[in-house]
Amino acid sequence: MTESNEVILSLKHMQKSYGAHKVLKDISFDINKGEIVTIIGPSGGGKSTTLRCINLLEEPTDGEIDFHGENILAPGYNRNTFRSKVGMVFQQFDLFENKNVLENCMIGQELVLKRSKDEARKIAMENLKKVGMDPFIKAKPQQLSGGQQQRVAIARAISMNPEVLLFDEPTSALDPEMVGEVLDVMQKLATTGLTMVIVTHEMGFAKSISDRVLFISDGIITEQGSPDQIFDHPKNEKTQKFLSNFRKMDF
Amino acid sequence: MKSRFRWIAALLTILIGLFIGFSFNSRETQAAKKDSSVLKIGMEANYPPYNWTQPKKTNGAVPIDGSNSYANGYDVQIAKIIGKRLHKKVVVEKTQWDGLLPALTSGKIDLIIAGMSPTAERRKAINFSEPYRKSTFVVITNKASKYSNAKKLSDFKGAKLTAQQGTLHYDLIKQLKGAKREPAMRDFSAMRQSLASGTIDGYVAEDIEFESYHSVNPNIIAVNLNKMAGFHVDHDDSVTSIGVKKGNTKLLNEVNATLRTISNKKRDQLMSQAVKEQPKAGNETKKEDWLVTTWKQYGGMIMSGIGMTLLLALVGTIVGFFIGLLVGIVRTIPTPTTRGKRWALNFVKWLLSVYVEIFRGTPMMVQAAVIYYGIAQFWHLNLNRTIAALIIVSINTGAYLAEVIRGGIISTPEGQFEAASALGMTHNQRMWHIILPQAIRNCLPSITNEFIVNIKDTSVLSIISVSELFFVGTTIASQSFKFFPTYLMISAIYLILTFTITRIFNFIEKRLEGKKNYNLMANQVQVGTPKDAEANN
Repeated sequence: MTESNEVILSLKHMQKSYGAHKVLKDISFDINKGEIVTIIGPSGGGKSTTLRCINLLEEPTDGEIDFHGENILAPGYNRNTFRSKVGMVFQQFDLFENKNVLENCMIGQELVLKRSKDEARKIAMENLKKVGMDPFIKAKPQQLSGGQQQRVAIARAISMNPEVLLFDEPTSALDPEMVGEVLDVMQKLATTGLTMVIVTHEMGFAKSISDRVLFISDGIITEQGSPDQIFDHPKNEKTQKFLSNFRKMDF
Repeated sequence: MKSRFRWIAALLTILIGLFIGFSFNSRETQAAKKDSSVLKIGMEANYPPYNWTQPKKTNGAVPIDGSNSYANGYDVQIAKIIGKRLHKKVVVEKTQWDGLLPALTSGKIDLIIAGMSPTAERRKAINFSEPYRKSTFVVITNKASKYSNAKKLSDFKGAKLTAQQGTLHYDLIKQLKGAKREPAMRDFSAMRQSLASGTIDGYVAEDIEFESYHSVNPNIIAVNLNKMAGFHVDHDDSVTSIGVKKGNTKLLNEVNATLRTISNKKRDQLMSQAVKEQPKAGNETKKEDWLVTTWKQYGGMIMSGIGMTLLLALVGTIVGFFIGLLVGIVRTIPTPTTRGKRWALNFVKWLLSVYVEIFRGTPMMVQAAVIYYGIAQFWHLNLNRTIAALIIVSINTGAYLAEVIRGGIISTPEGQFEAASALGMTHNQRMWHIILPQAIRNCLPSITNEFIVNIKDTSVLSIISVSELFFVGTTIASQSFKFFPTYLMISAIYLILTFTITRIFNFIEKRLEGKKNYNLMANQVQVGTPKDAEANN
């Protein structure tokens, strides 16, 4: 949690609509180097869309996204290079079905970062060891459990040495008993100083890991602040209502 | 991944080997084509006694271009006299009846000597020499038939008659009031077979066809039409002439000059010799020997027919597959951010969809005719027949597989695209490394299907006289007059080919699926798939 004031990503009045339906109305926030930002909020409020817009998996319909001060939405901007610096972990893991665990972690390094095979293998093995998946390097994704796949997906993402790592509800598709193993890995990552943006429904986890929490609902950032502010003293009515649903459970 | 490349490499090597072998053959003939000392004669080589195909170079036969067989007959002997006078070597281009005119106008042959009558309609397209044979029209029927005693045209009332497709003979049936005009047939062998099997009562032909058929089947009789009251035929129609390309007056004059040197007596002599030498269905030896004798006589032809069919299907499917891949990749390129690139991409995509629509929406037979004859006529490019066939099958298959592969790409989960994009891969990298390997595996059954369709459908290429299996079969059938057994044998060969290839592809499919188990690196324990574990519970 070595937070500095260097801004890596800056979203300015970002909007996204599908036809007449406006999903994101006005999203603006900065991501500083080393910061861990979690995004919470009700389903359909725009959390995932925000995250996917950052990585340009969705094309924002208006506004600006600056990466180190440069607008990535400008025509001719090298999007692939940008994406290689912004990792992503998906809800459905999305490991490459035609490759085994090790190849999954190597292919991006070889093709995009032009690392040699040996180097790529070495880095992939290090990261697979970090997530505890190194014994499974020969397995194909469909032979693994959900939690195992997600850990491999995390290893694949960090093998690219990204500046920012985006997590799109990484535990939502998992059986409850597998959630823990993935959160443990993320917790471990957080200590390494990696910049992370996490969309999650795990409130306890969000509270303990975050530097800053954003509450997004109805396409706007309703409230943001430190975990203490949001979880213990929420000001906005919507935030209060949303969190009261969770308060019944323990976190 | 590696092992897959090895597979492809091995396949390609076999392919190139085959291809070189074949193109060696065809290069020789191609060299002969360009040689101005060769006179290329177009004929069916399937119309005895005018012309026929035989496997050996006996009785003064001449080679048929692009095959190991020879042509002989009255036409061939006339051609040889002309060739001698012009100091040129005669080569026969075996061409289907309908393909003769386009072959001449597009310059693929120098002369048509095929028992062709100089009708007014044909004269519009090509020039004709003086007649080299005058003929009488007859109805050929069985001796036992009630029509065998016909004295006047109306006596054929109720008779089921036919004649060769695209000939005057077929129109003549109209003059036989009351006769039922059955659909026209492709060649005389088919008509003989129909007459023998009783599906028709007779067919209109020239007296020479009667003589020739009578020599092998004494149970038939010819009813002369020329003498019947009210029967009318133009002079042009009752003679046969040599076709020459329009504008080639020099050749026409030389042909006419040569024909004048051949006396009527000499012509009759040549004709009766041809009737004598023509292949006979004959009082064949022993029935159980049929397969053996056929094999002895035509084995080489059949083998090269199989080779050609496989070559066409294999090259066509593989090249078509790569065309399909490229089209599939281009069609799924994401919209670029700059305007110029966007416009260019849309244009290319439009071109590709036009390509797919055209080649998917027209029969391959028509494409073959258009490409082979059209290119020769308008650009004066003389494509080698085999090459032309390969090109046609490839682009045709490409159009189909483009759609198949597009379907495979679309059905690959969206998450695979997104995960690859998120790593920063370019469109090409995404496609080649992630999407296509999965898409192709899903498409493999369809690709197998296309291969099998190709093996069978290359038979339509007989229109440009590619000697693949079906073309060989037709030749054998029309020479041996054994329609049923020949085609039965050919269909058995097709079945064996497709059956074998289905097995091979199933094997490849299985290999691509990979192993079900994997080894844990820590303790080398075999672990089943989660599915297996579930099944055990």
